[in-house]
Amino acid sequence: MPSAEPAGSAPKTLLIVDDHPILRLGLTALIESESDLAVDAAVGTRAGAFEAISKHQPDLVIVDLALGDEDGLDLVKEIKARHPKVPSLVLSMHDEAVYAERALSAGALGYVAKHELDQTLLCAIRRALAGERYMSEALQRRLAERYVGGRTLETGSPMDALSDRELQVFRLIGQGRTTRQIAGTLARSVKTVESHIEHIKNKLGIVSSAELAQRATRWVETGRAGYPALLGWGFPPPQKFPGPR
Amino acid sequence: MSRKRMPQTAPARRRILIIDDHPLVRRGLKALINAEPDLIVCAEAANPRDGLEAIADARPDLAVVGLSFRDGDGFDLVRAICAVEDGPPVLALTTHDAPLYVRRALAAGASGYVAKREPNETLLAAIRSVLRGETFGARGG
Repeated sequence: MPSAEPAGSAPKTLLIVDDHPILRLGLTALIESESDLAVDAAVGTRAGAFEAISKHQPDLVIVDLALGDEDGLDLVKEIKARHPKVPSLVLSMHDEAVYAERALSAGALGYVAKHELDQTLLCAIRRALAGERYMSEALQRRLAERYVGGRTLETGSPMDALSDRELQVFRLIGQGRTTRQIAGTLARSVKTVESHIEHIKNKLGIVSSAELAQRATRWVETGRAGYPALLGWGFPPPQKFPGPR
Repeated sequence: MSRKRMPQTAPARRRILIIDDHPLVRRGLKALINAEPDLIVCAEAANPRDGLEAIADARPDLAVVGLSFRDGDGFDLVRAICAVEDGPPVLALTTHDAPLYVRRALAAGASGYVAKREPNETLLAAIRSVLRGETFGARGG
């Protein structure tokens, strides 16, 4: 009778891409505690990721969506384009309602929230290593309903209305970047970024730059897209945030 | 033949409590801190209530508090810990390093502030600095 796996088969190797060193350490410790998994490298930038992929040829890349000024979603798309045989799994502090479908559309095999339990993370990793998609039951239900209904259902998150690029601009604002800095990061003109900002404000029902900066900051800090008043945040308006000019 | 030196008793490790709602962050902090010969994680908690209980039970030398709590305001937790009589100093660990957050963390009573994107060496330096009774991260920003 053939055995399921040859004895002593080499562990599957992973590349971790996350801009927080503590997260890299935590993920590495979790993965390395499993005898069938190993970490090739843990990096914090897009450049580091491609260097590591070329050097190690990992079996799976775990990508954090928020990579400082760089964008994890863009990285997933780029990995898919440049290394189509290397699967990726997305990790994010944000609720999946906003990012999961975008991550899957970008080419990731699955999406896992950072606050999930170790077992959920490991399950997602193993499914992705087996070439299977991983998504939570809630996401599966939502996608199923969408197909059955044949129309776009509202998911309840105001962020759904934003395009990938608008979401990226929103996050950069929340990280305190000026319009000029965002333009530099995206390699676009200031006018283009200002246009994105107007669209964001329209779609989210935001009137002032101060409110935009406040909502964006809260998004970066907590992953929540809701209204400050309803959640009782009570933060004073940010004073030193440059905001869109 | 030289006499063998008697082994010196190693000084007790300073005891650190970790309060953060992300299991991966707690795991990373434990790996980082426990690898140091003079530090050890004595307890961990995933929410403010358990964190305050752990302060009373474990009597740590320092509390590392992640400020991106999903339930409740991390600043409130810092204030609550600082209100504990003979409680430990607090080092705030956060996703955001904007001046506004630094000021609020320190105003809430934190003795130090480190952004999660900082290198691990900075976090260890912050822990040791706060254990020495110093303030860390207040650059007047």
